[in-house]
Amino acid sequence: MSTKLEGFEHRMVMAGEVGLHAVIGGSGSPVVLLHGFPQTWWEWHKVMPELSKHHTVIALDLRGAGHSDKPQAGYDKASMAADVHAAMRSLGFARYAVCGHDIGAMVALALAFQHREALTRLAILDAPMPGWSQWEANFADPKVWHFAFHMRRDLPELLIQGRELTYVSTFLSDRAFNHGAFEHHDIEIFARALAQVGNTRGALEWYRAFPLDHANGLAWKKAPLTIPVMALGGEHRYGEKMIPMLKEFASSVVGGSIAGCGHWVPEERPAETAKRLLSFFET
Amino acid sequence: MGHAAETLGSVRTRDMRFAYTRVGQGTPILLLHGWPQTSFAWRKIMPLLCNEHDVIAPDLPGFGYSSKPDSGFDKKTVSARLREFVQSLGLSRIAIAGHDLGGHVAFAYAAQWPDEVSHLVFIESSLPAFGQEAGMDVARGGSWHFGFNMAGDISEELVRGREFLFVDHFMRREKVGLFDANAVGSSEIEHYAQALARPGALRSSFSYYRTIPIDREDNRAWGQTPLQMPVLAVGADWGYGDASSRTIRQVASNVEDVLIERCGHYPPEERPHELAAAIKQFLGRSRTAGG
Repeated sequence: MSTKLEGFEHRMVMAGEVGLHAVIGGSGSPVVLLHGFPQTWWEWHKVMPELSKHHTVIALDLRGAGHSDKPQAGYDKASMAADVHAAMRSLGFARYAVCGHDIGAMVALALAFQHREALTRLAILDAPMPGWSQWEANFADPKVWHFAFHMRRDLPELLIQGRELTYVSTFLSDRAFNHGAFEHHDIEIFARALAQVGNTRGALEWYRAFPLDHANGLAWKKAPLTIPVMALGGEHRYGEKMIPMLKEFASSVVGGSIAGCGHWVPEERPAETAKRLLSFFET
Repeated sequence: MGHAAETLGSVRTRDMRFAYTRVGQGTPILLLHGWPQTSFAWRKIMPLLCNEHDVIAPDLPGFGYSSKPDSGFDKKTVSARLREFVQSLGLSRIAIAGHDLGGHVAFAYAAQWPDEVSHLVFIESSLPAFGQEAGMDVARGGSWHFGFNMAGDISEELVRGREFLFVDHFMRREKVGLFDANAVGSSEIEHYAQALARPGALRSSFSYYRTIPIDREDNRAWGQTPLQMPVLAVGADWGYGDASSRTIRQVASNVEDVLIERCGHYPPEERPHELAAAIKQFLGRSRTAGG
C-alpha cells in the first residue's frame, strides 16, 4: 500500500498556523491540485507524472484531510482557499494555476475569487459549486443524500467511525462509471486516511460550512472571474452541467463532458484528464 | 381505574405474523406506532384507554416481533396487511390512531376503506404529497434522515450494531425530539434498539422511507376524495407544531385539532395523559354527535 510516487517528495508546508501536507515534483510553471471527499492528494497520482513533465506539481492534502492539520474550525472554502494560497506563498510561488476536484473544486473557485492576482488558470473537475443557481435544487438529487448527512453535527462521525472502508468503498463505487479506476489498495489508502484521528470530523466540516460557502458564492459571482477557466465533468455525473455552471462565475469557460466517466475524473480517465489539463495550462 | 387483563398475542394472516398487545373493552381502536419504534410506544396510552375501548396495538409489518416481509413497505400494502390483521381479530369497523409513520399507514387505511374506519387520530405525522416534501427539503431546513434512510444498503451498514445510538439520536434530538430529554428512559430506548437489531429490522424500517415515492402517488390519488369520518389532528408544540393539522386538513373535511404543550414529537410517551384524554374525548363526543 505504498503512496510513493517516483520523482515526488513529501513535505509539510505551513499555511499560517495550519500545516499542510504537500507532494511536490516536476518543473515548470506551478500547478496546485486540490482533492475532494473522501480522498487525499492520492487521487491525482495517475495524472501527476504526466503533468510534472511540464509543470511544478504541488498536490496538497486539504485542511482536515490526509496528513494535513485538522483544526476545530475554518472549513469554509474561503478559509481553505487562504490555506492553499499561504502554502503556495511559503513555497515561493506568487502566481500559479489551480485544479480542484469535488470539494477541492469549491476551494479552487474560492481561491480564484479571493486571490485573483495570484491565479493564472482555474480548472474545475466534476462538482456543484456553492453559489450556483442550482445549488439548492441539487440537494434533492438522491445521489447527494450525503450532503445533509454530513452536515448533521456529531452523529455521522459516530456512524462512520470504524467503518471507513465500508463507507469509502461504497461512496466511490456508487459514483463511478469506470470501476476499473480503483485498485483495492487505492480504496484502502483513502479509507485509512479517513480513519486517521480527526479526519472524519475534518471532512464533514467541509459540508457543514456549505451555508456560508453558498452565501459567499452568491456574492462573488456578481464580479465574474476573467481568467481562463476549464470545467470538466464526468459524462455520468455533472458532465454537461459543468460549463453552464461555471459560466455563472466566469466570463471565459471551456471544457465539457468526459465520455465514459463518472465522478472520479482523474482516476477514471487519467490520460484524457492530464491531456486536457496540459493543453489548458499551455493556452 | 379498573385493571383490565392485557393480551400479548400473535395472529397469522395470509403472509404475515402480527405481534400485538390488546387490552380493554368497548369500541375498538387500533394504535399504529411510528418510526423507528414498535407497539411498545403505546405502553402508557393503553391503560388510559382500556376502560372505554378495546385497544389493539400491533407491531407494524417489519417492526418488533411482526414479520419482516421481503417487500410491500408502501403504505398501500402495509395498510392492506393491517386490514387482514384487524379482520383476523374478528373486527370490521375500528377507530385508528397513527403516530408519525403510523399516521401515513392510518391515512392509507382510512382512504381505501372509509366505511371501516369510524375515526382517525393523526398524531405528529406528515404525508407524502401533502407537506412531507418540505420536511425533506434539506436546502430549507429539512431533515437529513430522509436521504440517509433512502440511500440504500449503506444506511443499514452504518447503523448495524449502533441501533441505540441511532434511536437515541432521534428521540432526544433537540429539534423535534423529546421536550424533556428524561421523559423516556434509556432502558426504554434500548427496547427499540433491540427490536431494530433483529434480522431484517433495519432493512424493513428503512424500506418505509424507500417507498415514499410510491406513497406520494397513492396519496395524491386518494387525496382527491376527502375523508368524511371525524378526524383528530394531534400536534406537539416542540414537535411538528400545527403541521399535522395542516397536512390532514388537505385530505379530510371533518377535522378538529389539539396542540399538546411542552411536548416533542413523541406525545404517546411524553404526554400520555394529555393524549389519552384528547382521544377519549374525541371518540366519545363524535360517537354521541353521530347518534
